[in-house]
Amino acid sequence: MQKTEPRTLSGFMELLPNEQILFNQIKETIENTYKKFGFLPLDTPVIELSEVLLAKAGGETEKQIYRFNKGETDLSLRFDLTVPLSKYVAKNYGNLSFPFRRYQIGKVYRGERTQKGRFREFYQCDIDVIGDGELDLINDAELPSVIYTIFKQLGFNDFTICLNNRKILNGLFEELGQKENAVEILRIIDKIDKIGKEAVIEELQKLGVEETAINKIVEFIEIEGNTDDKIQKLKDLKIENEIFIKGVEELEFVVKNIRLFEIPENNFKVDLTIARGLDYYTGTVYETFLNDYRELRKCLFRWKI
Amino acid sequence: MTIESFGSVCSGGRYENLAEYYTDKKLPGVGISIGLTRLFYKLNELNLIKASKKSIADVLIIPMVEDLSIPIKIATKLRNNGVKTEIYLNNKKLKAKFKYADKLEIPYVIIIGENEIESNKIKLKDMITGEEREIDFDRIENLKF
Repeated sequence: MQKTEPRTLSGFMELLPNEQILFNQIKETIENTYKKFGFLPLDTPVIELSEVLLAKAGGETEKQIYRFNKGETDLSLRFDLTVPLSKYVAKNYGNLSFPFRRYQIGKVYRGERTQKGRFREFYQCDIDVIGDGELDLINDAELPSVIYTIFKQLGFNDFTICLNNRKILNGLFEELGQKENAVEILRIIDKIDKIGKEAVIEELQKLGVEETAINKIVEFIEIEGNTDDKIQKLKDLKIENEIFIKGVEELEFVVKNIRLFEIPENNFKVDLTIARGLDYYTGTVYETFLNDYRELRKCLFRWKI
Repeated sequence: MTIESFGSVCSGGRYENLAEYYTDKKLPGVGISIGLTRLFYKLNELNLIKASKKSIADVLIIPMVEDLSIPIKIATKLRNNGVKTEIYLNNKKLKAKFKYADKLEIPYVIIIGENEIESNKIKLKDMITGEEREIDFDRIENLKF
């Protein structure tokens, strides 16, 4: 009989049993922590109607969708867990209790350019808290506690949960008359760690931002010090824009309440350069970084159990 | 590779309206996401985690008898007690069976042969220390792994 070469598509992860055991241990740690905070489980189909899944999509996302027809039906594979959650909450609104806290761990699909370390099929582990009409800001302070618990459980010590508030950035741009350029400016300053300050200034100039506005932006992203210093310095900028002021207030409130959840000071900080690429976020934003290579080596031993 | 190239391992934030494309209801929310596949890949690539556990089973039962009724009964007892138990269900030489346990690093092996069945005992071998001991059938329930 003619044999077919057994192979797996590139961008799709397939593990040997020992690796899969480890992978599952990490997945279970994440899931158990989500449960520990009372999040409810959710599983949605991998395949959805394109019309439903792509109600919002556009641009880059749309290009990456796995989309096909089965008979007459136009179908797509989910590319994140947020859109299926949106559909689910809208569809089941009357049967859910709010605030609705759900976790979902599942595979999502994006037809990215294949390169090393890029996956076309990958697991996302999401939690969201959804309010009906409103959702108190203190929820923004609880999520870092979930992140902290997970990475602690996984054996890491030196990691930092970075916080910012999009209103601060949006308010600043409004104050500087750069509202139209906001998305573009955010994209540029988001890269400061990668390309450095000079390159950021250059890109802002290319965008046509005035000298005074650039100076203010740079002054802003160079705010240094500990968490409380940074908040004080934001206030000291004496920006009177309402959105900016609201953003600083929110950030201060979230920081105060993060401390109630007993997250050590060295595991979180305010990082004013974090914007998150998506224009979707309107308030608090988070990113988490593992800091120290050597520190990471220590957690090897945790996995030998 | 520097740790910077790791990127964020958990991101998210607050949004004003979750489901505006599906409903008029205003649904604000806050959420985070961990990209597990990428996290695992990076940790593995940087040798920061080690996939050292090769088996799920706590114990491998090696039957040395034709009639498998007693080995199966013992496995069922252990499983009912929450012990992850595998029976070697393939007719091979004892040496090959031990090799299997060794390769998968299964921590304990239970040997059940004619002698053991006659005396109502099993032989329990600790694969790490090499230590062996005999245990009465009716005390198997008390075994902890």
